[in-house]
Amino acid sequence: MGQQIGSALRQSMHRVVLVLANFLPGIAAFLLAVVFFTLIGWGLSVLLRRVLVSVRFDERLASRQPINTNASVADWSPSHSPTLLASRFVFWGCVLIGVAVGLSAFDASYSANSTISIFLLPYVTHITGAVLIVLAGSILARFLARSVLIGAVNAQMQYARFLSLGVKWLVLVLAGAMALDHLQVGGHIVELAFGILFGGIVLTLALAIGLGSRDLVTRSIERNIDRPFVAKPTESQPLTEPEPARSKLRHF
Amino acid sequence: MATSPMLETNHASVTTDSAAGESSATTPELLVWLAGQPGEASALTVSALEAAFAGSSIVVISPEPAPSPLPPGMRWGVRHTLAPQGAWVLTATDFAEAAHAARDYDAPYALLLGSHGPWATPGALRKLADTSGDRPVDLVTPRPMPGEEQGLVNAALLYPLTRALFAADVHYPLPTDALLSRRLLERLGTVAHRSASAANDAMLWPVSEAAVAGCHIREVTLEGYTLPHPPESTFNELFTAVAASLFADIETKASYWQRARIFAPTGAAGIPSAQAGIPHPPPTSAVEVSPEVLELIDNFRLAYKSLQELWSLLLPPQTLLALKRLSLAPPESFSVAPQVWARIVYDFALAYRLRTLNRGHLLGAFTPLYMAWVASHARAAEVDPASAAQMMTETAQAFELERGYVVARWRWPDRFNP
Repeated sequence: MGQQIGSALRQSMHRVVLVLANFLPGIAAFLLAVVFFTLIGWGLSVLLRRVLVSVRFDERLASRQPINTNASVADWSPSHSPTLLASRFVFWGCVLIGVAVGLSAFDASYSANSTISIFLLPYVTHITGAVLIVLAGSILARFLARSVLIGAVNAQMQYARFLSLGVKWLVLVLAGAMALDHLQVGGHIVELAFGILFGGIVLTLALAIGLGSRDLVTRSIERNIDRPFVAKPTESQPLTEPEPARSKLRHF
Repeated sequence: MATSPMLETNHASVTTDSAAGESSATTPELLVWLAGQPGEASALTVSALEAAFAGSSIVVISPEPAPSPLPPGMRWGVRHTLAPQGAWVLTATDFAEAAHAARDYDAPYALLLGSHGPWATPGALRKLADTSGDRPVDLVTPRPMPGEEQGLVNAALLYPLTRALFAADVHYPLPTDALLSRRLLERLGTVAHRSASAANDAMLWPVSEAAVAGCHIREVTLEGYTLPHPPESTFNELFTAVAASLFADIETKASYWQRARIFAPTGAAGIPSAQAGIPHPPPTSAVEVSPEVLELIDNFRLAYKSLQELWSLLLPPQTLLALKRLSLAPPESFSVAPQVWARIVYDFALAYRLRTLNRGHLLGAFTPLYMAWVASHARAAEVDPASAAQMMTETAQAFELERGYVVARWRWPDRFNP
């Protein structure tokens, strides 16, 4: 009995060590590819930056850029420098190529043992995709929430914050559901939960806006009903629209 | 009636189709640029021009065909413009096209008429186009008689900023009508060419441009002068467009206004020290608060509740505290201190440059603060109309006093701000 347990443990240890031995060359190849391409990227970016600085790329671009524009290349650049943007683009491009080459080498080192490769690599890519979806969703949610909040405040809506919060959670729930779906976690439960949550938020918002605007709609209808009857215009009495009450404040 | 070939420009084409009384080759004394005036207003302006410049040689450039018969001494050019019709201010395209026309006709001065109010009498036009004086004038801008109503955006933002940063005491820095020398027009044309390539209706700031170029600016008061009224329904869009253009102009000319300059704040004696960032609440008045002002104050309170988080990204703690006190103040004593307002504007201009927030959001978050200033001004006018006029002067003076604040923050934006 003891011998059998010992033998099972030894075999198990042997298998794990074997897997690690298979695993390490792949990792080493991956790291080597990433480091190599990072170094190349760094060298290229330094070279590019020096060239662009020597030809005064930023100044030339600024002089050709139309003023009063809301979006220019410089605005998207770190420290408003297109040179820096270009050099960083080259650097990160090389790093990404390194990661791709590394993943390919990692995959190749598992050709003998395809079971791990089949499960591990697609899942890594799915996780990356899901993280990107969640990141994009949270950025979009924040942007839309602010847009709605500011627009609603400037339209003097009392429920501006509530509306903004609703929009934010709508986008976050959508992004979360998309990420889970991408990871293939939960299956139909996620779809069902998403449908319930999304529908719930939309219904809540609709009710809140409807109930919140009740007074506004009532006033609007009352104003229309209370408007005095205006006779049809005749040649002797042309129709004149009553002047709406104008604000005394003049902004422009 | 002689017809000359079409002069192709980058933006528009001008057909000189009419000349009366003299050879079309003569250099005109003045070029008059009529920016998209409707037919009837254009006819009235032409008759006023005829009376104002009788005996002078002028060229009128208009989108309308030449009137018949053409007054003696007047030449007429029809332009086929890309400038947006019905714009309420002179746009970049107007400046670019006017500069091109002035170059083509070799005119020393150009009178740009954007508005079409009844103010354009012969006397007013003569006064606006009068360039006599000790120094050659580069820019003449009109202003209404003192005491007549003026735009609140102008009083709260445009005039104080232009006065404080560019040392130009011009009450309407975004003129709808102006006389420009060829030199300034050429400069504006270059700037306009770049602006107009982004948008035909981009705004230009001739006063700040003239200040940077060291040009001589003159402001003339015209009796009955009126400014065009853009529709109030589009206030939010207009306000954000004007504020964005102004902040962009300030950013472009930062190297100019940041330099140490011979400029003494004119209102130092009139208002308390800049240290008094948190104002003492003004005495409560017995005059009843009008519903319009009450609505404005309520809107500010709503904005304070909703936008605190955004404002805290842009404004220093002292200003936030002042806003908190303002939100709690009773309507009878609702007042935005000029120093607080000046700092708010400077902080938003800085945030616009730094892109602390998305620029659309930033300008949207600025609008309720402007409306708070409007409420404060309207309340002051209710209590005492004279104090409202005084408030405008104090606002302009506060911008001058706080100039050091914006220069410091512009240079070292990350330094701690109280």
